[in-house]
Amino acid sequence: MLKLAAFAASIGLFATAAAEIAPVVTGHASTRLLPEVSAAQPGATLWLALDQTLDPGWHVYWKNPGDSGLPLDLGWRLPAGFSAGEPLYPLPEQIKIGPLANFGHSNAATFLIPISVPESISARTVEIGLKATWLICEEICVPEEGAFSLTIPGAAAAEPHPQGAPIVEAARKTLPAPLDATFVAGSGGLTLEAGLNEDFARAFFFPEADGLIEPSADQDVVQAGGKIRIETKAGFAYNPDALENVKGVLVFETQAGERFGRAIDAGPRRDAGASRAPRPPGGAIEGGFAGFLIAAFFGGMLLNIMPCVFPVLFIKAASLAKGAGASAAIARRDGLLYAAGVLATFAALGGLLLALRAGGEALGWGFHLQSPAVVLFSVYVLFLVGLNLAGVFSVGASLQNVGSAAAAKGGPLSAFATGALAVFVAAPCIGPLLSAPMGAAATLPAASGMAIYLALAAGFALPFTALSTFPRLAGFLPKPGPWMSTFKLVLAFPVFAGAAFFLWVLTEQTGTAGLARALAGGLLLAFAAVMFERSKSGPALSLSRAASIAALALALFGSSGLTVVNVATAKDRSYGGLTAVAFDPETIAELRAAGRGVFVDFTAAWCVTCQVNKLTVLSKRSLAAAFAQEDVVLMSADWTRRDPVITEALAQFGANGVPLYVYYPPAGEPSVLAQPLTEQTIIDVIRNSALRRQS
Amino acid sequence: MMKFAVLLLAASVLAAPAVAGPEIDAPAPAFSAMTASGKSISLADFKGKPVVLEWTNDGCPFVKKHYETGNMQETQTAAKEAGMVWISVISSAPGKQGHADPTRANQLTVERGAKPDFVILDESGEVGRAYDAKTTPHMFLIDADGVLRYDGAIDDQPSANHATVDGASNYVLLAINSVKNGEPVTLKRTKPYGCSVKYGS
Repeated sequence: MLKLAAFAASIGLFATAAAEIAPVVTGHASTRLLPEVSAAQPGATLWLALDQTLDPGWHVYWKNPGDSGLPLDLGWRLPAGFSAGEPLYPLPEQIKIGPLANFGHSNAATFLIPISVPESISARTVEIGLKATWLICEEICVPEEGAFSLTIPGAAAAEPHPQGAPIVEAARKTLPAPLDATFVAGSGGLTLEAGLNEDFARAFFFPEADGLIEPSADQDVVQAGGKIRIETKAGFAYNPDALENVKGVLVFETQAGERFGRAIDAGPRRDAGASRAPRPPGGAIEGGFAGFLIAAFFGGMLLNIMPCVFPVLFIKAASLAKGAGASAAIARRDGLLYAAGVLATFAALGGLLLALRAGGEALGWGFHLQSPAVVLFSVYVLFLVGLNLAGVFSVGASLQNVGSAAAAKGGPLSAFATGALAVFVAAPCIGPLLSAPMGAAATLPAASGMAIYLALAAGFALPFTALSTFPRLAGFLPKPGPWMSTFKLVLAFPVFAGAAFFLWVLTEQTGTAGLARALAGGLLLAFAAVMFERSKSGPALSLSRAASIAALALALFGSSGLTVVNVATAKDRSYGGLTAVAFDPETIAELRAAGRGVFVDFTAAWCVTCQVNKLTVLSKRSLAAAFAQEDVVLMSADWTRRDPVITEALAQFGANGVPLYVYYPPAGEPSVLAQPLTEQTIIDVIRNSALRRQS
Repeated sequence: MMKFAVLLLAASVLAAPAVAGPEIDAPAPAFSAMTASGKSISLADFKGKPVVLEWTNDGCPFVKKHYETGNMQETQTAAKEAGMVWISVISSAPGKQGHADPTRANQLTVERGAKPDFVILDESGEVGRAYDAKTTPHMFLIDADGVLRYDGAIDDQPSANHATVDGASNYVLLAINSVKNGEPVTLKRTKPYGCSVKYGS
């Protein structure tokens, strides 16, 4: 009954509001402001349509107008309590003008605007005023404006407006439905991915943000297996690093020429976003000191499988396997001695480092490799280990007398020495996981620093010691057999490779004079090894035994008094086609003042990770091109030899060793690059800071 | 997966230069063109002096806003006082809005009270395309060493409404001041606004 009364009332009111709404005619458009329903209902949303009919060939603009143009500008005059929401735009089209493109609407456009009506309306009639301005273009552009006013009753009941309802209805039908999508921010532009089963002939993505894509560029659309993938080209404001979400409309056109849209609010594709955020200086290890201890421990464990360490450990592991059936007690003793060797060596090196630091020396982890004598010593030891593995000579037990008392003879000392040796050779392989705790160790108070070194040592020693302490674990090792002598021979070669690597490091440090000495020493060692093996079958004081000892002594004597020479030349700093500038803080300041960015490669010849990164990432031609394009200077901070300036620079970033990669933008804070290093991270960091400066 | 991601990244790096248009803080694209006074000039002629490039089209309402309010002329005066060369460029193709022959171009300069040192008649659009000039106005500033320092809008008011000139922040003036004082330009690239440049197809 009440309903009927309301209905009747609304018809009556409708009659008063039904006066035909006339369009505002401007130069190239005819525009009306129409309500969907005949009354403003308290507490409801009143939808209005700004409906434009445009002269043929003329267009108005979408909210992102593309290369030129302006979006619609609406100035409302509303009664108290009313408010207007953002207009909903019809589906845009790409309108090409010569080499440029606009996003807009031609022929006709209907913009839907929600007006929220307050719960209580005091006046009986509601007056809505609008001043709209729009830019309308064909070849030429004309700004136009129109003033609109709409008077409708405020009432609980409303009828569809005879003029407005069909227009709003039609416009609403074409509004894009939401579609789940993800994006991948590549360096050349954005790629959208979504699931879509509908057929279409063409598609184009219109982003809401200005400059995200190049408006005139064609987009690469692939549809397969219910998925679509749209590649766009980067626009002037595209910044892959800062992109958190991408909003816009995907507009499709069917073979029949029908258009439909999908609203996109895409987040980054999960697997693509993970590696992008640059880590803060000092690494991403949370939890402070305890975190560093844990990282050091696990990093130490990981070191065991590094190519620097593995062959050395294998010798011991092989002896364990041999002894598996023989003497658990001896194995346990060896395991503990090995751990002692590792801990003592780490403690000694760490202690020395901390002591020297206290004395004002600028040193970092791996510093012992900055001394050519230590490097030469490593060459000799590895060479001898290689000769041993290759079967040129043997010490103590041979594979033939497995488990004999002889196996234990060289035992206590050799187990301890293996631990020490493992630590020495592990230094070049200190991986990314360890750079943060090692850096922290060098800057924390001495006691905390030492704790970190010992945590590393404990982690490093654990696998082998566990293996030897619990014979059941050793049972998991493959059964000893003839294969071991083959495997031993095979392992000789990575060890020789290690020796060759240190030989190269030595040459970098000391030039060809050092190289000559090392080669002569190697020759003597080979001779000593052969003579030693021969002497084993002869009397205790044979000629061959004497020759062997003499050669060994000569080799060691020859290694003393090596001097570091500066042989750094442009050759050392060549990265593929690009030659790096030598590190110098003043040069960095000058280059930055001149508006150029500087990318610094903190490296050392003895650092394997550094060399791998240099070869596989930094020497890429495409990276050189990106550097040239972004006006970035590549600088090499070579820490092969001791260099307090570089040590200090490393310390600024909380690092205490190499590798470290830092980008100094022309202005603003330098950023430390996340490792593992990829070309993409470098380009991203450079572009990111360039765009930050622009905005 | 990792490998695939690396390949994808590598492919996208190779696929396209990241940003269209001339590069900021890199040598500006060289050009040589005829001026309204019948002289041929090239960018290299002005080595040692900063150069402002202004894309213009006298029929464009956005250009009118800046000339009818005197804003463009003031900017031109500021550039000249800073010892810079001002070059207006008309890239409208024959028959399109804003196209000008030498007589009309010179007449426009007088009528508008404009103060350019040169007006380039670029009806082929060659200079416009080299700079990826998109709108009128679209402004560029090249320093004395020939390095592009600014590319974008004249100010922060994308509107043809004359009233928006008051209180607008003029990006070109900011760039002129920075280059004059030997400081880096802070805002190097903005989105130009206005009518599209009327290139021939």
